[in-house]
Amino acid sequence: MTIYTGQICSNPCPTANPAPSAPATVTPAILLGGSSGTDITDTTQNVVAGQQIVLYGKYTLPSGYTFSSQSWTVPGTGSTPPTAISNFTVGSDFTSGGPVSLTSSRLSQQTVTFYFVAAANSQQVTFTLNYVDNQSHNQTATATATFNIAGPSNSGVATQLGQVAINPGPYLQFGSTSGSNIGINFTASANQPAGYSPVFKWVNLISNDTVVLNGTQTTSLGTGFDVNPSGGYPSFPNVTANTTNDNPKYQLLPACTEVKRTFDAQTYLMWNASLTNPASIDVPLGSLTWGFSGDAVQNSGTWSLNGTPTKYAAGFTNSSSYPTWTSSHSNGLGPACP
Amino acid sequence: MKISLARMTLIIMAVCASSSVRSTTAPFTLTLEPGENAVKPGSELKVYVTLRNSSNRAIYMSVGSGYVDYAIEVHDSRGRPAPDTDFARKLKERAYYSSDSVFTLQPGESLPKTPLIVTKFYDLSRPGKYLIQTNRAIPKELGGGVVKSNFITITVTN
Repeated sequence: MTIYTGQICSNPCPTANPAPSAPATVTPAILLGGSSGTDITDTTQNVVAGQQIVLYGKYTLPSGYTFSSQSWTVPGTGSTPPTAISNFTVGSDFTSGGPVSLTSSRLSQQTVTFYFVAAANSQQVTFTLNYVDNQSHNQTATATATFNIAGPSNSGVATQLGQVAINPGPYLQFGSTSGSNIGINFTASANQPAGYSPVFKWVNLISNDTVVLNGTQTTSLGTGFDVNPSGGYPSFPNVTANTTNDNPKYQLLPACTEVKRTFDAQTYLMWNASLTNPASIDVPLGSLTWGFSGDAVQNSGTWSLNGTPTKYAAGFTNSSSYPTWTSSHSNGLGPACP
Repeated sequence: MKISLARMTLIIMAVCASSSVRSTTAPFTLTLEPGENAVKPGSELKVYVTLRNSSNRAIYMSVGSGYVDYAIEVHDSRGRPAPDTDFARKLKERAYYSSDSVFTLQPGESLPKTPLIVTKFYDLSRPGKYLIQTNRAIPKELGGGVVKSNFITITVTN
């Protein structure tokens, strides 16, 4: 209601500034699912790690009020490694990949899309609205919602190592393709949250893959994301629901007299709740490093191992740190022999 | 044209007969499927092969790269082999490396469908029909030899 003070008048009355009314209360709300979503303000929501969460900060400013800014506070955004991220992406050519951070820019939009990537309870998300009221005072109003995030626990990867060998082909190989000698076998385990049909995935980042031919020519076969020839991502196919294996091999050609290969990698165990609406992304459970080296020498057309090959696999370390890469390593052709 | 098609039919019949003889003892079968039936000259041509355990026991089979796991044969409508690409020529001269995963296939089970990029090995820039077949060596421990797939026909259009 507009109230005028001063003299009594008849039309036309003199103009005057209306006295401002008392500031009104502004109460924002958090909607889950976007601008047409469900109001979840002051409630607790049950979600799963990797589940897409779209929140919309809803508010109405009375006439005479002006918007200043808005921001979201999502727990885990600033932790190391972050446990709340904007996305996990893999380039279409697989040469790049990694998590996308929840930047301050993304957190200052009315709608924020993010993923919790680790199990946790009582994670409080806050929407903060800053505005100027009709008395030119800066004001702040907030809304909160709480999330309980389900996810796998006690995850681990057990490994079994095989032998570096000269196999029919001939190949210098860590393991074989016959099943009698698996280079490295990975077995994942975890206590799974109830109510989901999750899958494990395997991401392999190669830190070193070098061949030395005839004792003189050293060539890197590349580093980075290990591209699966049957589909790119993830690196290794699931041989069973919770196992995979790798048997890297290098062809031995008659033109070479010696081939020495050194290989080091870090394999990440990823987990996906297999949700479709909303979608879910892969979340990391941890990683381990492994590798091998072997030296093959040719004598009158017959290849044999020179010295004792090496192999190793370090223990699995639980971590919600994502694999990140800026190059890729694919099956391919090695250098010509010098 | 009629002669070419007749010749193609004869080739198919001959190979089918050959494959069926092999399949009585071979531990697995290969099924080849086209990614698309027609492509433009210069575009990538991908086909897919599925290996199925046709024996009555579990077998180990690897998935590495189609480059070396499978041999691809491509002939034009006159039965002439398609020309090699530079990559195919280099493949004969330079060592190949790959990461292989080994699967245990129970009777009736199949490996994941494997894509093979035909144009990586063969120059299919000339329009026409091409007959494609793939084969895979049987590991020595499974008796040795070779298993051939069915034929598929791809048209390279102008």
